[in-house]
Amino acid sequence: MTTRSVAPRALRAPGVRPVALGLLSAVAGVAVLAVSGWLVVRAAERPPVLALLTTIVLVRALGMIRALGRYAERLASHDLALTDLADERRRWYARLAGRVGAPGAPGAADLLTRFTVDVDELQHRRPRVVLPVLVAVGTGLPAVLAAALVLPGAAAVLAAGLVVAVVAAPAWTWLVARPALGRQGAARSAFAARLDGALRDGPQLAVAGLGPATTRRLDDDSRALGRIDRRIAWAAALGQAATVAVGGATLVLVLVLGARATAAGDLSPVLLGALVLLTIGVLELTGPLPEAAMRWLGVDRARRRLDAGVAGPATLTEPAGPRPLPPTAALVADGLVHRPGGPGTPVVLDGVDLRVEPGERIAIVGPSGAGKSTLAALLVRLADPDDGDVRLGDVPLRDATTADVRARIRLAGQDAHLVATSLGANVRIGAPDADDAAVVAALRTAGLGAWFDALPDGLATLLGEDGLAVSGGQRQRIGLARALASPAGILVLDEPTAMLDAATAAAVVRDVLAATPGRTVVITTHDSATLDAFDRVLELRAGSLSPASWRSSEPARRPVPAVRPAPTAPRAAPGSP
Amino acid sequence: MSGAAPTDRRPTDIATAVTPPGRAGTTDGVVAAATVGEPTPRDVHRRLLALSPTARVLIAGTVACGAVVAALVIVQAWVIADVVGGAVDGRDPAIGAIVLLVVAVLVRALAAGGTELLGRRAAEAAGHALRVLIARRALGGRSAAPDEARRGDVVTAAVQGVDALGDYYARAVPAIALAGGVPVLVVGVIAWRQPVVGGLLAVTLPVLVVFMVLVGRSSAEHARERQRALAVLGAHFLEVVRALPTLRAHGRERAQTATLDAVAERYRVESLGALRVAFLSALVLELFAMLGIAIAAATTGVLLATGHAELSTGLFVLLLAPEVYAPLRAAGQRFHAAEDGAQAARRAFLFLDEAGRDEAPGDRRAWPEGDPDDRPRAQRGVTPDPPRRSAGLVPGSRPVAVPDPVRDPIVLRGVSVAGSAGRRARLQPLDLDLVPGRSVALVGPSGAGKTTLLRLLARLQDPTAGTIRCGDVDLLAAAPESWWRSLVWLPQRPGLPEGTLGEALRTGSGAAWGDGPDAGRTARALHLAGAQDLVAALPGGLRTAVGPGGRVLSAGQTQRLALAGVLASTAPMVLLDEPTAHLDDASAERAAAGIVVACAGRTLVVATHDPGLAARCDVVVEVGGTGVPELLAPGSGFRDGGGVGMPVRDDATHRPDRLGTAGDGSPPRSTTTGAAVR
Repeated sequence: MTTRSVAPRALRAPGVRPVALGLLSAVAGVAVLAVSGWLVVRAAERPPVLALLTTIVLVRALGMIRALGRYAERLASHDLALTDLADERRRWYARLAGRVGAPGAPGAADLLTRFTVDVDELQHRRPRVVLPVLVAVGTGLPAVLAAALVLPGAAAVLAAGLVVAVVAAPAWTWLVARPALGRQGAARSAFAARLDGALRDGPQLAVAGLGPATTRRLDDDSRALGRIDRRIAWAAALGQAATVAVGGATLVLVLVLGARATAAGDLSPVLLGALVLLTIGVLELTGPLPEAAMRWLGVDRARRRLDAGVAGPATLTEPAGPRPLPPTAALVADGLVHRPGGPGTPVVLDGVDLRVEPGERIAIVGPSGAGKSTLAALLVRLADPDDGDVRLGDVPLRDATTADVRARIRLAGQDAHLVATSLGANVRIGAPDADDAAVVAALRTAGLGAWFDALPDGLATLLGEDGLAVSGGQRQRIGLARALASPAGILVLDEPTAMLDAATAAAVVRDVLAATPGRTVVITTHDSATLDAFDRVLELRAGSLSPASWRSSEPARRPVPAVRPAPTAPRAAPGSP
Repeated sequence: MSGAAPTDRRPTDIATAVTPPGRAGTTDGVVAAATVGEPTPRDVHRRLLALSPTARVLIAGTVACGAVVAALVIVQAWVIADVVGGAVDGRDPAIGAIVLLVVAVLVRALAAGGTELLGRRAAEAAGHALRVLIARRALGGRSAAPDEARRGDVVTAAVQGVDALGDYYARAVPAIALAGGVPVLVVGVIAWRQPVVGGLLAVTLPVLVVFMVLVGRSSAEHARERQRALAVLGAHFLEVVRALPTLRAHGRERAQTATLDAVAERYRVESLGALRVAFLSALVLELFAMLGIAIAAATTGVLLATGHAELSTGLFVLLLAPEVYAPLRAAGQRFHAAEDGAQAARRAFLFLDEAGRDEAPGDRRAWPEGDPDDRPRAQRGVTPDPPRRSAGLVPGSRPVAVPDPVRDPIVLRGVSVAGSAGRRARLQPLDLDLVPGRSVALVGPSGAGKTTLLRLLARLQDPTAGTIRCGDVDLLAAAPESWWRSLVWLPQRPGLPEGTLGEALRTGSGAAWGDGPDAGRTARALHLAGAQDLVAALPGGLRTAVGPGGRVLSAGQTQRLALAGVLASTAPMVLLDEPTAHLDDASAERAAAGIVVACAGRTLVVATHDPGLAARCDVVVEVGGTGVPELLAPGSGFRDGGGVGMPVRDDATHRPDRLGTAGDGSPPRSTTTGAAVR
């Protein structure tokens, strides 16, 4: 902004301009009233009309200053809010990023929404809490001084009234609202979780006959939230009433004192007019303060929740003196012990040893809940194991920078998130520098060739809420394409075929292995149909790895696509591997 | 908005391309979609006001309090002018005047508090109405479950949205309502005391209004621009936060900080540009107000100086002149608060509308907006449960036409479900006969409509075309509740209701309809679903708390437990959607065997990708496919016969490569039902 460069240095601080402009317009506004009061009484003394002209011009000038100052102040305070919002978002995003995957960090959709709502609340601190207080105090002080020059007794009353209106009334609001606002956080969280469950499982509950009972319970919860809201409404109403009452009482006292002094001849009539209107103008500025007190409570609660949400050590720490990872080396897991839920939760991995040579293809099988995903996350260092080490050659991953680890080892997880943007940009999250051909090749390898060819906009097709709807299986394969397109030499693919039918799953695994010559591939799966394509198959059971036993003991269980009851795609035709 | 597609972006900056929420029609047919029927701001305002009768009464109270405040300001100005005028004449203030002023101040304080209290209570009442509406819609069983991201939005709108509504009801609505009347009242009072000044001010009012409308039009445009910029920023931040685990897995989380900054800066500059114009209307008002007051002051001054008026009258006029414009100024400023309140409610309305779309046009059963307690007693679910599966009467419904799937086959003819605008049909036209006591596997590629077909059978949604009958009963005309008594349904990603695991199993088996399973049947169902080890491993066993706030279980564990609940039921009809997905091979095989055993003698319809499970069913029906007509089992003979449960022909011999050949080498079975896919 051009005005910024010419303003004095102190005014360039983002918080100063709105306050300065706010004070300017507030002082001008109070001055307009005081001067008009003077003007009218002076006019009643029937001076020559010309003698009033200067004052009339002054009133107009002050009015213009007030209007323009108010306009500039609104712009400046919105600028401040937007700047603060950006700062807070960056700050809390970075803190959340450091805590992703750690036990207790916000992860569920409703918690993340709550997180962003709380971060957004912080933007109100300066424009809606600090600014009104500073403007009220900053205008009140000179007004009291001016009143003291006119009538010290009235000034004392005005000062006392301002103190009560600025301190006591907001404090009262704060005290009344605080317990209710304290309960509100927990009550809202509980209701949000319950409503989220109802939204997710609504049809299931309805068919099971639980619709009416669940609805009743949500009604009751909602009423409980309403009771808390009503309590807060009372606090706001009391604050508002108190502010108006204090202002009114101050005005009555100033008026009586001033009128008596004038009647007794101790105060010039023109100054009485100015004094009364000055009082009215200053007291008006205390109107927004009870609201500011409640806003402060809201900001404070939001910050506490945010602090609690991201409290705790970072999930990963960067080493002080990072070691470079060797160019080609085996991926080695040594005695991994891990409790993914944090201390005190069950041990999922209990002494996992694994060595994957460069270029080797390994499948890890195991029953649901055996800890395959946990192991995959540790192998790519999304988390550090409680005990044991993951190494590339002889360098433990925790001694290298995360950037180095990500450049070498990449995970395609089960929870791939599609961002509301184009398909191409979504794949390039895994490979920022990949060209279109590489992106399309990765999509084809991931088994999305036919789907991609049917898209009218190709890579520019928008995904996400307002874009193309994508099934769970497609989402997961786009995530797979991200890893395939990445430059990493070691790929860890967590259940890449979980949501696919058997024929597609087999084709995807076959294509992935064919398209990654020379790259190391570790796949976790519970689909035994595709296992014969791997160099080794290991089974994760009871927290440790062992060579899988299914090959020798259960050969009959290996389904052969040709004799399936052919429920699915033409690809299952006889002859496919 | 140009911000949605900047030219100089790096391809991975997910930031730059995040689509603004609710961006209308993204040009071509594939992408257009969910924005159909987007509520406009005007719609939102109207629906917010219509939401709750209580809120309407409270808002009327708020406006009344505001009017009292305005009237008392006039009284106050009169007393002050009188006292000052008297003092100038050398009189002490009269006790009566001071008492009147004190009373005015006290009543004004009460009325100001009342405005705040009633406005916030109106917001609270509207918020409650909105929450109840969402809960009812979600639990009415007639809406598809929204995805995770949208659920977060809806929950936030229902819970946090009340705060924005507070501003809306306590400030914006009264300010806008009062702006219509108070200026005219005040000008009238001024004109009564001082006709010249009153006349001058009266002239400014219409000029001001015309000017406001002219400036306001472009301002409103820019204010919306700002709203949109903020919404884009917010959506982008939420999107980045949601994508964080994925970004982190690819080492891209730090790069996003720079993107966040860049996007924030761009929107800050854009927003301020819009605001410069948007605030112009307020500036015009301020200047006009100042001009009006200055005119009043100057005119009064001249009248006083020339002896054409008394001081108290002049002072009264001067004190009142700002009050002519104050309500207009307040309304102008609060307009933004109103927009924010509407924005908060928009998400919730969007969900309500979308949920409503799946209802049949004539289906008036779905909860209407408005007082939720207007419905008949039966629908509120407070009737004692009649014995289940009695095929008996549902209180409140007509005594005729109760569907009985134990006796009658379910016949679907030409049933199809259109996709939302521009999208592929969710279910291609289909004929299907379901014979009591037989099992049917629905197979076909993802997206073919298996889940949709199950939802149709569960009466969770209505087809776009076609009929569904059970015997003589038109199921589409029957109350879903009466149908739900006869069936259990396991969705693709089942959840467990809040409570203990034992309660979850009971309710999963439909115990709410009466006739819950005993301990023996529960244990057997757990065994059949392959979940008894899982329960044994839980420290609290069946008393473990599950569901929202309870123990966190994996998708596979939840699925096995939910399956156990369904298998414990005695409902004559069992609908299962991918019951063995998320399970490892051994568990899947075990569950498949368990399903068939548990459902023997009952009608079972199971959508599955699992060939082992499909092979165990009596009939395999391919749904959808590539659109190539594929006759799996000619239904003509069956239809001609019109009989029930009569074997038509052995399809295994007809199409040996597609039907009836189980992978485990079991013999081909005869088909008792036909399906044709047109």
